[in-house]
Amino acid sequence: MERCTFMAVKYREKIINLETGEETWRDFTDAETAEVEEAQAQNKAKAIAQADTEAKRLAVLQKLGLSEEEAKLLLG
Amino acid sequence: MPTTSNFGWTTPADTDLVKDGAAAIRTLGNGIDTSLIDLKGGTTGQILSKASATDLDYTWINNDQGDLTAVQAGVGITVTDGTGPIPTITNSSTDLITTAGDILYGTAADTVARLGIGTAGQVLTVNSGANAPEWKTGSSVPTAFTLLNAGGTALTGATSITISGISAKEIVVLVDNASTANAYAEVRIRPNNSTSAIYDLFGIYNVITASYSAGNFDARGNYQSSAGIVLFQNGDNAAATGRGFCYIDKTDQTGFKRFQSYGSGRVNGGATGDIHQLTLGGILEFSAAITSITIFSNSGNFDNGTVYVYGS
Repeated sequence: MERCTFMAVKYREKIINLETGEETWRDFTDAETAEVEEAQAQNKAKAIAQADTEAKRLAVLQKLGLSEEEAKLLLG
Repeated sequence: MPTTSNFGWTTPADTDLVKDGAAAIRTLGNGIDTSLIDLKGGTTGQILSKASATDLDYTWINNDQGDLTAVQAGVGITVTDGTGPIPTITNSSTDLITTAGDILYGTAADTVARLGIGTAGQVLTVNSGANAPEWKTGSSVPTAFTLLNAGGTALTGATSITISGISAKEIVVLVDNASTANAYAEVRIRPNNSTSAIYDLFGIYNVITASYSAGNFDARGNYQSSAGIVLFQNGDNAAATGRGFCYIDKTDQTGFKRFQSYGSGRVNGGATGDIHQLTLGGILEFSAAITSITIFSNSGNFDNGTVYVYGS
């Protein structure tokens, strides 16, 4: 028995035609999907790196016993 | 023997005998006949003309003497009663004019045609066949912008939203409060949804973060990018939104177009930093007219926002 594989479409384009008033949908191509997923991966890594930096910054402040406002005053 | 006072024809004397009358009459008649010999002959339409200064020296000639003997019709001219006595000459080209503002132009040698007046604001130009003038709305004539997608189009439920069926010389796209399901969504505009390497983007690219870094304030230059016009990038929160503007000219023409865009993510929805602001301009290396505008998110489906597309 042949096995059927199915992948749900994650990304789509909605097209509104001003001439006809028709609204249609188009599934993203593999290349378009790959572009979005690559960007999402980069964005996720960026978010993680930023959260890590923020955590380190808060740890330093805690170590010094300074609040956010005091740190801003100190740094001018 | 007496003669007549003007032409010297011989006449009988008062004392001549009656018996000599016949000869005298014959002599007079012969004199007259000889004098008027030039009146003999000629043909229909001919006229008499003096042949010399001598009395009664005439000749028959054709009636084509003088400055005008007949008026003939030329191109664009009609003539009635051309040989007179009073010819009527009419400029028949003016018969082609039917309406105020009509213009006459040549369609070939010695041939004219009518061109009706154009509409308000149009300019006279040469047609595509380069063989006749035509009225056309000039590209330099400013026209008002109108909203093409009435009420705007909601940015929800899709990763790309395309407004198609656009017919305009210039396009302005306004993106309001656009958000996607994920943080750091970069929102781009793609005319004709093109992902070809035709985007020449140059300008300012600033990233606003919680702490200052000189490296976050920079110029951006992408020659022949395929990404699209990057309008803005949202902040580090999925609920963050952004706003932007994009103008594209010569959208009804083939060949390259010019664009300008300004956009910024916003500190809302809990976003604390990384607001990306772009001020770009450049060239779109399109070979075709632009008939659609796609709003694209590189980070998943839109879940908020509106796009307004104006055209002129």
